[in-house]
Order: sequence, then structure tokens, then C-alpha cells
Amino acid sequence: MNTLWERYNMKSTEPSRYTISPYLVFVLILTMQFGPEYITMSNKPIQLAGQDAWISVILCGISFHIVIWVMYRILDRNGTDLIHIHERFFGKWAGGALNLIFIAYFLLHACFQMRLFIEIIQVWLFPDLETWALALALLLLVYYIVAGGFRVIVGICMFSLLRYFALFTLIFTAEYFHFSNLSPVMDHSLHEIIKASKQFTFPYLGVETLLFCYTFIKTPKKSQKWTHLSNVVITVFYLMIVSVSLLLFKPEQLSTEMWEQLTKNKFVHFPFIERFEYIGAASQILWVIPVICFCLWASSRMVKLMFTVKQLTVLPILLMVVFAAVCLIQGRSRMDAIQTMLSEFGFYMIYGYIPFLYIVDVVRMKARRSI
Amino acid sequence: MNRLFVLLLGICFLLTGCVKQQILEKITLATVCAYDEAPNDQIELTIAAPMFEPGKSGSVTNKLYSKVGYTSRNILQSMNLRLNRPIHPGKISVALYGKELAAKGVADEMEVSSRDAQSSRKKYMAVVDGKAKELLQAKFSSNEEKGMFLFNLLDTNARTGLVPVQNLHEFEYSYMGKGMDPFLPLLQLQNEQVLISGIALFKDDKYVRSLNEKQMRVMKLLLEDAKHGTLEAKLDNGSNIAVVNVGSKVNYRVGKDSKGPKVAISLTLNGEILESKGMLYPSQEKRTIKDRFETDLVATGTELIQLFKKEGIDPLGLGDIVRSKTRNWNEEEWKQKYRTLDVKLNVKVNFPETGIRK
Amino acid sequence: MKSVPPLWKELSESSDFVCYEHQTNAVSLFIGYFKSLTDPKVLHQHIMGPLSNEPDLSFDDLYRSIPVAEKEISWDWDFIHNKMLRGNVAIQYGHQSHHCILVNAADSKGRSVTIPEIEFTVEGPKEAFVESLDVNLNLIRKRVPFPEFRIKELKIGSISKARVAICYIEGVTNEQFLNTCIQRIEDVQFDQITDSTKLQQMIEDNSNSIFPQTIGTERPDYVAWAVSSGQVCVLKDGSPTAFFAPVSLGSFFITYEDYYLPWIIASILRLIRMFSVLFSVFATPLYVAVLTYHGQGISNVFLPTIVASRINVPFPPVVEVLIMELAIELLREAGARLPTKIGQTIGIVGGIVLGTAAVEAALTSNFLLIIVALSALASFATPIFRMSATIRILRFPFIFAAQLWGLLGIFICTLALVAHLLRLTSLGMPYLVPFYPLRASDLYDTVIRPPYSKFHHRFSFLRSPKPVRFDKKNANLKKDIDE
Repeated sequence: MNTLWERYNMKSTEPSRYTISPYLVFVLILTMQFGPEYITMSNKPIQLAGQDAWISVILCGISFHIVIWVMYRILDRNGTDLIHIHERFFGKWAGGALNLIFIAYFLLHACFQMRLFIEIIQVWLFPDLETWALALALLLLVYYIVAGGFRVIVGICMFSLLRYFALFTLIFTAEYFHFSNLSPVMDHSLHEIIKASKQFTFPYLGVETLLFCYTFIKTPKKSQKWTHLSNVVITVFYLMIVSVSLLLFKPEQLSTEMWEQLTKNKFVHFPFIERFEYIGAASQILWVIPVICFCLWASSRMVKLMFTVKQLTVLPILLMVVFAAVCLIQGRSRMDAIQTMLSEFGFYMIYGYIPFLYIVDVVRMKARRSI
Repeated sequence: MNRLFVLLLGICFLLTGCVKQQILEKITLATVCAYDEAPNDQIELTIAAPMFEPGKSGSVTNKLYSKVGYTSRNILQSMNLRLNRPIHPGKISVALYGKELAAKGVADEMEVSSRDAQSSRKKYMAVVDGKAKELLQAKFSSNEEKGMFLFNLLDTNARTGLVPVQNLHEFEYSYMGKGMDPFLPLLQLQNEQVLISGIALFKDDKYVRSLNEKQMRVMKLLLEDAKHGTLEAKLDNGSNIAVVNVGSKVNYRVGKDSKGPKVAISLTLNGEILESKGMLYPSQEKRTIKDRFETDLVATGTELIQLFKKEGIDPLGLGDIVRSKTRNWNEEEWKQKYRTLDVKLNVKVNFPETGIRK
Repeated sequence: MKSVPPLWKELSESSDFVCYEHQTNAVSLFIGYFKSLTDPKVLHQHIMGPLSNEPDLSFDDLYRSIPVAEKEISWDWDFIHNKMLRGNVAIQYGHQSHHCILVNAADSKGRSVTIPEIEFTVEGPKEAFVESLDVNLNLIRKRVPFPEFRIKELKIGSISKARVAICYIEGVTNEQFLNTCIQRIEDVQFDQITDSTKLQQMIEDNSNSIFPQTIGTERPDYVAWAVSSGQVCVLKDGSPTAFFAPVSLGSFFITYEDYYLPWIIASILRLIRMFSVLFSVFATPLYVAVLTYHGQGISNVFLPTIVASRINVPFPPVVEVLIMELAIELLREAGARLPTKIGQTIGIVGGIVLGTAAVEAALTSNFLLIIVALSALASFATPIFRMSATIRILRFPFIFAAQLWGLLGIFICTLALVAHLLRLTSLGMPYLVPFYPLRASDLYDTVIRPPYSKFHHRFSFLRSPKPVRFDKKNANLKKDIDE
């Protein structure tokens, strides 16, 4: 028993050249959680819970705080990332299979994000743009970033924080706010509000990235407060976005909108630029690229650890897989299906699998102590 | 081999990766369009395409193109057959609707521009008393571009004038939202001059009737807090008083009695006396002036509300206000109650200042 | 055939090598030197003088009687050859003897210290480096009269055998940077290194990047500042530029004059400079993107102006922009290759005459002419020459990207640029520090130049063993009113 424990008790962090300071976890998690799915975020919950949708945002935010806490309990106790924890808990084969599921999840997520971005560009900027051409350009960019290593990915996350300037343009919509849209408060039943909360898990997803980069944090235990802070900031941002949607549109209007967040850009007028939607749509790249980079980094790293190959040889293969998949996804309905799939998977991962892991961990601890 | 592959990929990329260019001076950027009724359920679309003169940015002329068809996008396409530069509708900032078309409903035309990723949501809409095409044909803007002229006309009057204006977003908001109805400014052509003559009221997306200028002013006061515009009243002694609005506040209060909800509107208006014909010291007669304005406003306002109730339209959005104060509000129920709704209007006029004379 | 000691045979193949026999009473002395490298005054007065006055000197007496400080006795013939190639006079005592007296009679012909021409400043000292290493070291040493200031000399290049001096302050400079720097200079395998800019390119972390990763300067005061901040400075004999590393991207937009101006003024100038970099890179690509794809985004107020100026131009925006950009580059290049006065004329003729004519001939719109001229001006505001060249080149990929995909292309290109910058390092230090990785305490001297009371710490990213410049407490003494 003892030797096995030692064999698994590997170094909890990577060499310090590759690690990031704990505060950068804030940047990383913020970027990963705040993916491009925010542009369609407020529609469905508002159809469900109407003016009470903002309560759902807060509820979902609180539930994610709990999940983050649970995640840190698991990680801190084992001192390594989920890839190793899987093998430690379930053995080489079952653990490997679980890792494979996560590889598939990350790759699908990357495909989804990229296809979503290309779709936005095709609808808002260039209807005649070839999917494969943009996918190729973006994947080359992703390759260049991921080949630079984890620190470069976090650097891109940091740069992408510039995108919050685009959110400030929400101020331009203030002229058209109707505050009566927020009342009466609690006009919907608790059931409806919780159902709307469930819709919010997809935009909130992204904290799970922590499970895979835990060893790349310099002092991982200190990073917990930064992850919580990121979740708080995300909640505030989402609250802002949902409230603006409520104040600006009637729910009946929203139901016809595809990407209500991009429609809000239509209200922005600068003396020089009359149409902000071009910039708004193109700037979605700042939301998309960091997430794709991380997904490919995490999946290629998992492949590397499982099959002991070089990450640089795995990466092009995975990129080609993503490229092929992106070219094959056509049309809105297919995208919707993938989104539902991802959000279902995410929902069960966050509220089912992570608590399950925690229980397994506690049971293992108890068992060891009794021995 | 590797280099050849990269080269081939690069060439392939450049050949198919390009997208359709819209070089600015090679396209026609229309700024105003007009919709009219045409026989057989068709519409007649007119656009005013700006013509730029090289080197002279000051003078822009317009050329009108007009065509009949079923869908507006198709009409634009067939217009290109007559143009040296293809039309791009993305910059249209004013849409005019002929009265007859408006009476049949404008939702379809509105839907086109809401769907288009390139069209503005701040586009102004207006109903033309008569045919919209005829209005566009008139030479009303000396050497200014017609679209810009109309846009500025509506914009300045909405921001600093007497006109309550709804742009595309607001029109859609009140059209789709429950418990309210949209309205648009009504344009009229008088001696080759464009004039905002009143308000066109809609039931859903259909034009119902119009309000005159005086009613429009009061409606603006009831709709929003305003800081602009003048009001005029004739006193009993025959003198005319003009007052500028330096800040008005409107407040809706929803109450309840046995029959159902009732609404109390209170309007507070701070004015400054601008002109007093036939009266030397208006400050001494503030009381009378105040009373006169108050009764005038209450009379016009109540008349307006009666009119709305009679027609079953709700441009003030009373339904929405009641909804925001009532749990489980029901639209059908409300529509029945609306005609007999108890609406009270209280007006308070203050004159803190009288200009620099007494 | 003159008699030449056998070991000097190789040198005497060269016609500027002089070797003659000086007969004394006892033995014959051989005196050898390179005519082109020695100072005849030293040779005649200090070497030939004692030799001809006293004919019976022994080897030791001879050595003692030469009144020159830099002299030595050596047996190592490689060393002797090298010394002679640096202007030493060798005296061999007797035909068969194996040791020589080496006397330094090097003639340092070169210009004297002049005012800086590339990095001219209105305020501050007006001394610039020259081609002589010793003069340059003197210029630095004068400013750092500090016992821990070290100069380490290396020789590089199999032909040039150039003297390279590495300057640093022991205990202030991080050992790791110093060792990396020395290691890289020692590893240079190149025969002829004529200037420090060549060396700079050879030792940079990524020599395929268009971004310089070391700063070259001709100002000794700047070098003194860099050395005292904990950077490693490298000088090469025969080069009027010194360079120092590690540096971050931000320091390329700092002129040393910033430190001589009051801090508010300097900060505003620095902000203008940073803005001008952004303008210079993005202005013309945005023009291409907007006019080619996003014309509908232009405000109604501007539309007539732009369209009216463009309407007769026969080229698409990208061709128009490329022509204008190339014209400006051509003007600059022509101006730089010509003597100063003609260069100025070319600038005026080209700039004004060509510009006006191009607009009148409707080959370009005057709107674009303004943008191109402004962005060219803006690119010259960058003080470090290599960086300003980078900025000028940088906009071309952006222009092509804008032509391909408009704004989206610009966004993709920007991200690629950022990724490139994130991957760059300078002597192993991240290039974008202190912005990424963020070091909040180091942000003081980057975008603005704060008052000197804020300079109490050295930049933490330079990982100096002695991070404190002075005691912080003394800097912020607050006084009460009337105190």
C-alpha cells in the first residue's frame, strides 16, 4: 500500500519556469468561464423566468462557488491534477477511459467554439466566407499559441481581457432602458427560476479547466480565493448582461433574436463609427481563441501523459481533427444539438461527477485511516 | 515536398478565402427608403441614392429609384439593373411609409430590417400623409442629402423638440411588448417643404388615426420627462402667453379599487415665461397663468386618453405599467378592462423664473 | 633577403610589417612591428631612444630602460603575434632567443567624442560613444566610479578577434543574466564581427523575430543608467553602439531624455509616443478594412468627405495604400542614403511636391495622404532605431490581413502579434514584462515616467540581488503646512 502511494505521490507542481502565479488563475478562470456562449445566454432563461432571470444568475453563481470549493478539496488533498487523480482512484484502465472522455469533451468544446465564431462572422460580416478558410487561419494561430506553452496561453487570456472594453459599450443602450421591465419581482415560481438557473450552467462552465492545470500553478492552494473571485466577477458581469437584456427588450422581442448580445451592439454610436456591430462581432475572437487554445492544450497534454508521446506531435493531429469536425458542422440546427450536448455534459459533470469524485476521495481517505 | 504543400495550401487559401468586397465608392449607400402601397398586394419601394461629386464633399445630390414588387430585398436587387453601383441597404437611416400601406400593417417591412445584420436599430421610421414616394420626390432639402436631412429633422425634433419619436427598436418594443401600442411621427408635404404634422397612432402594426400638433405636444409630456418645447395658452383677458418647458416630470401611479386597477398620472411642469403678449408684468399674475395652463393640459390630456380608450389603443403603455405593478397580469383580461379603465390626470405647473424681466 | 627571426616569417609576408636588426655591441636585436598600427612617436622616442643611447644594454636593462608603462616579456609566440597585431612593438634579444619584450605603441586613430546624432536630446549630456573601446569604457567608467563595477573582456571572431567588453555591477546584476550573456558571446562562431549590431543579432534569444531583444544606444549616460539598474551592457571595440539586455518591450519606447524632463511632461510625451506606435501600426490597415469592407460603418458626417475624395481614384484602397506606404519608405530610404543636406531636399521635394501632385492627379485620396504621412511621422517617434524600423515593417502584414478579411483580419493579425510577443524572451526574461507576467510593483516606469521618489526599487523582473535603490521612507517625507 505504502509503495503504491509513493509511486503516485508525484511532484505537485511543474518546474517553476512553466508555472503561473496564483493571481493569474483569476485571469485564466475568468476567460474560460466567460466564453462566447454569453451572446445567447439571456434568451432562454428570460423565456422561462422572465424578469426574475437575474435571480437565477445569482443562484447559479452560488452553486458554482460550492463546486469550486469541492474541486479545491479534491485537488488540494491529492496534490495533483485530475488526469493523475483518475488513474489513482480508478486504476490505469478505468482512469484512462475517463481521461479519454474528457479529451473528447475538450475537443468537442473547441469545435463548438470555433464553429460558433465562424458562424457569427458569416452572419454578421461576410456571408460568403468559406468555413474552412477561417478555420484554417484560426487553427494556425491556435497552434502557434499552444506551441508556446501554458504561460503563453495564460498570456493570451490576459490580453483577451481587453474585450471587457466592448462590454462597456452596453452604456450606449441605457437610453432605451425601461425599468418597469424588472418588476414585479418574484412573479415566477421557484421551479421556473431553478429551471432558468439550469440554463445558466452552460455559460458558467469553465471552472473545470482548473482540474487540468492545477499542477501549473505555483502555489496552488493559494489560488482558491482567486477562483472564487473570478466566479464573483463573472456573476456580476452576467447579472449586468441579463439585466440589460431585460431592461432593453421585451421577452417577446428576445424570442426572435438569435444573438441578443450582438444585437445590443447595434445601439452603439460613436461620432466616427456608426456601426459597432462589425467590431463587436469580430471582437468575439477574443472570447473564442483563449478557450480553444486551452481546450487543445489540455487535450494534447492528456494524450501526452496517457500515451507518453510528445505534445508537439499530438497537437497537429488534434488540430486536424478539430479542423475536419468544424468543416463538417453545418447549419444552425446542428450547432444547437452540439450546444445541448455540451451543456448537458457540463451540467452532469459539474453537479454530478465532481461531487461524486469528492465522495470517492473522502471514502478513500477514511479507508486509509482505518488501515 | 513540405514547402510545396505549404505553397499550395497558401494559394488555395488566397483563392477561396477571399470574401466579397464592398469598396466604399463602388456601392450606392442609400440613406432613405420609402414604402408605398401597390396593387395586388405588392409594395412600391423608393430609395434616394446619394450622388457624390468628386472633390466636393459639400454638395450631394439625390437620385430616386422606384420599383414595384413583392419583397423589398428583391426590389433592391432588380434596382441594381439600373444602377452603375449596386445598392447596399445597410446605411438606410430613415424609413418612410405611405399612409395606405401603414393602414395595412408595417410589420413585414420592419421585420426585414430587424433581420438584416447590417441595418441599424436606431433607424427612424415615419408615416407620410399621402404617398411616401411623392414626399421623396419633392425638393425639400436644398443641397443637403435627403436621407440625412430627414434623419436630422426627426432626430433634432425628438431630442430637443416637441415630437415623440420612435425608432425601429422602440417601435418593435411597443409592437411586440404586451400592453402597449406603437406610434410614429406623421410627415406631410406642404409647399415643397417637409413638416412633422402630428403623430400616427397604431393598433398593433396598423395605422389607426393621427393626432394633431397640439395633442402631440401633450402626448410627449405624458410619455417622457422632457426639458424642451414650448407651450402656449390664451388667457381670458385675451393675452397670449408662451412658456418654455425647463423640466417636466411625469409619474404613473397604479392603484386598485373594486372594479380593477386604476391609474393616476401626475405631470409636473416647470416653465419659464418666454413671451407675454398684452401683459406687462406676468409675474404678478402667475396664479392665473398657472391655472390656465393646468386646465388646458388636463383638458387636452384627458381628451387624448379618452380617445385612446375609445380606439382601444395604448400608446402610453398603460398596460405595461399596470403589468409591472400587478402579479399574474393577463393581457386578454386587461384588454377588456382597458376601455373602462379609470385614468386620472393631475397637472401641476410651476413658474420659478420669468426670464430676466419681471 | 633581410634576416628575419624564423618565427616572424609568417608576419613578414605582409608588406606593412617592419622588421629590422639593430646591432649593438653584444648582440643583434630584432625589432618588429606593424607600420600601420604603431605610433611612430612612441617608437622613436621611447624605444629607439634608449636603444641608441646606450649600446651595451642587457636584456633586463633594456626592458627596464624603456619608459612605457605597458610593456611585458613573453615567450608565447601566439601571444606575441596577437599583441603585435594590436600595435605592440616586439624586441627580440638575439637571433635564437625565445622571448620578446612587447611594448605597446598602438596608434589609436579615430574620431574624438562628439555629440550623439541618432539619440540627440535637447537636455542632458552631449557625449556619444566613438569607435574606440577604451574611450567608450572611459565614458562609462566616469559615470560609474564604483568599485563593484566590473568590465569583463572577451575576444570573438576568428578573423576580427574583436575585443568585447561586458560591463555590469557585481551584486546588482543578476548572475543568471550575466552568465547567459557571457555564454552566448563566447559561443559566437563567426569570423568577422565588425560592429556590435552584428553581435546583437547573434546573441538574441530569437533571431528570427523582427523585434529587437536588446537595446543599442550611443549614449554613455543611458548605459550607466542601465548598468546601475541591473542590466548587462556589452561594448565592442570599433563600434560606437553599446547594447544592453535583458529588456522588455516597453523600454523601446523610452528615450533617455524622459529622465531629464520634469515627470509630468516626460509622462505625457511618453504616452504620446506609445499612442503613436499604435496609430502607426493600425491606421492604414484600418483604412483598408473600412473602405474595402465596412464602408457602412462610417458615420454619415464623414461619408461625403471620404467618398468625394476617393471617387476618382482608380485603384482599390489596398493598392492605393501600398503605393503610398512604399513611396514614404522610398523617401525615407533615399533620404537616409544621401548626405544630410541633399537628404533634406529630397524629403521636401518628395513629400510636398509628390504628395500634392498625387492627389491632384487623382492617384490617391487626400484623406489617405494625411493618414499615411501621420503614421510615417508616428513611426519616427520611436526612439530606438531598430524598433522604429520594426514598427514600419509591422504594418504591412496588417494591411494584407485587412485586405483579406477586413476587421476580422486585423483582429487575427493582432492576436498573432501578441502571441509572438508572448513567446519572445530577452536573455530568458519574458519580453512583455511587467504587463505579462504582471508585476504591479514594476509598473511605475513603463507607461508614464513617475517622479524619482517612486524609483526606490529596481525592477523586480531584473531579479537583482540588491533590489532596493534607496530607502523608501526618505523619499516621501510629508510636511505639515508652514513647517
